[in-house]
Amino acid sequence: MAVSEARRPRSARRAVAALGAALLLLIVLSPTFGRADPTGSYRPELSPDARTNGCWPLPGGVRLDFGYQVRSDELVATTTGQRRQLVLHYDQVSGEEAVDSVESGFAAAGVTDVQVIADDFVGTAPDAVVRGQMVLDLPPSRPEGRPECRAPFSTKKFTPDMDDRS
Amino acid sequence: MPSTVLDEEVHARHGRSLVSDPPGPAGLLARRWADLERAQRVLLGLVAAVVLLRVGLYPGTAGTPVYGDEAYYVDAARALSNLVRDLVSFSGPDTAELSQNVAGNGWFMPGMSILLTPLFVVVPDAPIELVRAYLGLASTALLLLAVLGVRRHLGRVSAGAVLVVPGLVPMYAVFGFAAYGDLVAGLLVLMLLTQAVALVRRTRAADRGAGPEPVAAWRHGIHLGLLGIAAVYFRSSVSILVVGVLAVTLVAGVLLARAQWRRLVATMVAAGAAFLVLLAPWSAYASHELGGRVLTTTSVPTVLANTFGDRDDVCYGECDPGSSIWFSPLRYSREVARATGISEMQAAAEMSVYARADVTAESYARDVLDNLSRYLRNPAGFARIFESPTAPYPTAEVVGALTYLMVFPAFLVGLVMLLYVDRRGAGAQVQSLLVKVAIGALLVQPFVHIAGSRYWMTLGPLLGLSAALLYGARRSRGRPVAGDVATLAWLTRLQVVLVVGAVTAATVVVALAV
Repeated sequence: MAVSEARRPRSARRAVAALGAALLLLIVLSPTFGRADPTGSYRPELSPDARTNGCWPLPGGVRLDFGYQVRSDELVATTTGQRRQLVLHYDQVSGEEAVDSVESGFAAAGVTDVQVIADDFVGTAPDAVVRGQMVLDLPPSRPEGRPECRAPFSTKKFTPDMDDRS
Repeated sequence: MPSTVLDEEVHARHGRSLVSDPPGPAGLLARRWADLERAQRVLLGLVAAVVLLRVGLYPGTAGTPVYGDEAYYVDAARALSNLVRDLVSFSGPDTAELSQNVAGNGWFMPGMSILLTPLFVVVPDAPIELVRAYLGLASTALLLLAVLGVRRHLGRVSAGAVLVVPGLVPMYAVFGFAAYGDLVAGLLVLMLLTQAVALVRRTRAADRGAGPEPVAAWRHGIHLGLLGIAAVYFRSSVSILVVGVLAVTLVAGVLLARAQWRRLVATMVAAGAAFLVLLAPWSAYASHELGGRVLTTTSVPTVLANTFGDRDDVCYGECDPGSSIWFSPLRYSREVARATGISEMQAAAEMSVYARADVTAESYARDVLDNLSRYLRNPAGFARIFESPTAPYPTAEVVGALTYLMVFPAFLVGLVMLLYVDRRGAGAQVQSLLVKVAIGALLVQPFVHIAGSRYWMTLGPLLGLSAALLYGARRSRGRPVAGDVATLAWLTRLQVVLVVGAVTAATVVVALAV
C-alpha cells in the first residue's frame, strides 16, 4: 500500500508534466499550422459618408463645417421637377447656427437654388451632442458610377426591400 | 475511489484467488459496480445518461452554421489564436484584427472566445462540426466537474438533481454545442455557490475547533474570485449575482461563526481582489479600443432603449433599415463618434435617454412582464435553430417536447424555492439563502433586457439545486433542528427578507402593469 500511494502522485505528476509538454509543443508549433481567419462580421468597417468621398457631393462641392449624421438622401418628385432631399442630424450646434453655416457655405460657392430648414429636438439636454434635424432641399445631382457609390449605408439611399430595423 | 491494487487486496483477503482467476477489464468493472452503493450507482447511471444524450444529439447539431452572437465568440477566438501564434513567433500582434474581433463593439466579454482559443490554435480553420464537438466536450466536462463539487459539498441528492435538471434536459444538452456563454456561466455560478457553501461550513468547523485545518483565507478567497470573474467573462450580466452571493456568504458566515469574522472578511477581500485583477485587463483593453470607459460591456444603453424605450426614436427617429435593432443604432452611434470625436458609448447613452423619454412606471412594468414571459415561455426556442441542415435524423421536435416537459416543472420548482423559507439547520438555510439570491439576481435580467429562450440556461443548475433543497426539506419535515437557535433565527429572517422582497417586487410590477 505504501508503494502504491507513493507511486500514484508521481505517475500523476508525470502525466500532468507530459500533458503540459505536449500542450507547450502545440503552442510553439502553432505558427506552422497556418493562421485563423476572423470574419469581423460583428464590427464591420463604418461606411464613408457619400457626401464627402466624391460619390454624392453637395452642390458646389460645399462641405458642412459641423458634425452631422445623414439620415436619408433621396431624389423626390416635386411640382417643379425632381429635387434632391437631404435629411441629416446636426451635432453640437443649434439649428439656427447650422442653417446660417449651411446657407453661407452655399452662398460662397455660388449655389442659390437651396432651401434649408432645421428643427431642434425637443427634450434633449442643453449639452446633448445631437441637437436636431435639418432638411436640405437641393438641386438634383448625378452620382459617380463607382460601386461604393451604391452602398446604402454610405449613400443613405434606402430601397423598400430593406427591412425596417424594428 | 480505491485503487485497483487496493481492490485486489480486499478481495484477496476475502479468499478469492487472484492467480487462478485473473479478472479482465469487464470483470474489474463488474466488481467495482458491485461494490458501489445504490446512490453511487444512480449517480453513475445519470452521468452515463448525460453523456449518451449528448452523443446522440451531436449528429443533429454538428453542422449548424454559426448563429447570431456565436459569430463574435468564434471570430474573437480566431483572433486570439492568431495572437498566440504571434507571441510565440515573437512577431507583433495584429492589433487591428484584435480590435475588430475581440474588443469588437464591446457588447460581449470574451470568456467563450478564450475557451475556444485552444481549438483554433491547433486547427486554425476548424470546421463548424469540430467547433461544436469541442464545445460539447468542454461543456459536458464542466458540467461533470461542477457535479463532482456539488456531490462533495452539497450531497448526492443535489448532484443527482443537477444531473437531471439541467443535465438531462435535451435543449440544455444541445446548447452545450453552442458558442454562447449562458450555459457555461450557469455552471460556473453553480461552482461558485458550491464553494461558498463549503467556505461557510469550513469556517463554522474552524470556529468550533473541529474539522480539518481550514484552507488559508486568501486561497479560498482567490478560488471564489476566480469562479466569479470566470462566470462574468462568459456572461457579464451575472455580475450582480456574484456580488450578491459573496455578500450573503459573508453575512451568513459571520452570523454562524462570529469569532471568524476577520478571516471571512479577508477571504472576501481576496475574492474581490482576484475578481478585479482579472476584470481589469479586459476593462482597460476595451476602454482603450472603444475610446471610453468600459467596465464589462457597452450594450446597456442600447439594450435599455430597445427594451423599454421607443424603438422608432433610438436614432432620434428611425434608425437605418436593413439591419437589426442592435446593429442599426450601433452604426448611428459610431457615425456620431466619427463626426464629433466623442465616444460611441457616450453617443449611445444619449440616444438611449432620448428613446426612453416617454417611459412611465406602467410602461416599464408591462415591458418587464413581457420580458419575463419571453424568458420563460419557450425554453426550447433554440431547438430548431440548432438543428443542423445536414442532420441525419430530426431532433428539434423531440428536443422541444421533452424540454417543455422537464423545464416547465423545473421553473415551478424555482418559483417555490424563491417563496419557501427553509427552517432546517444552518447548512440548509445557507444553501437556501444563496440559491434565492442567485435566482433573484438572474431574474433581474427581465428588468433590464429583452429576454429570450437561452437565458434559462444560466438558471438551469439552480433549478436542480432548488429541487434537491425542497426534497430535503420535505424529507426532514418534523425532525428536530440542531444548532444555535438565535443564529438560525437570523438566517431564517434573512430568507424571509428575500421572500418578501421577491413578492413585493412581483406585486408592484403586476399592479403597475395591469
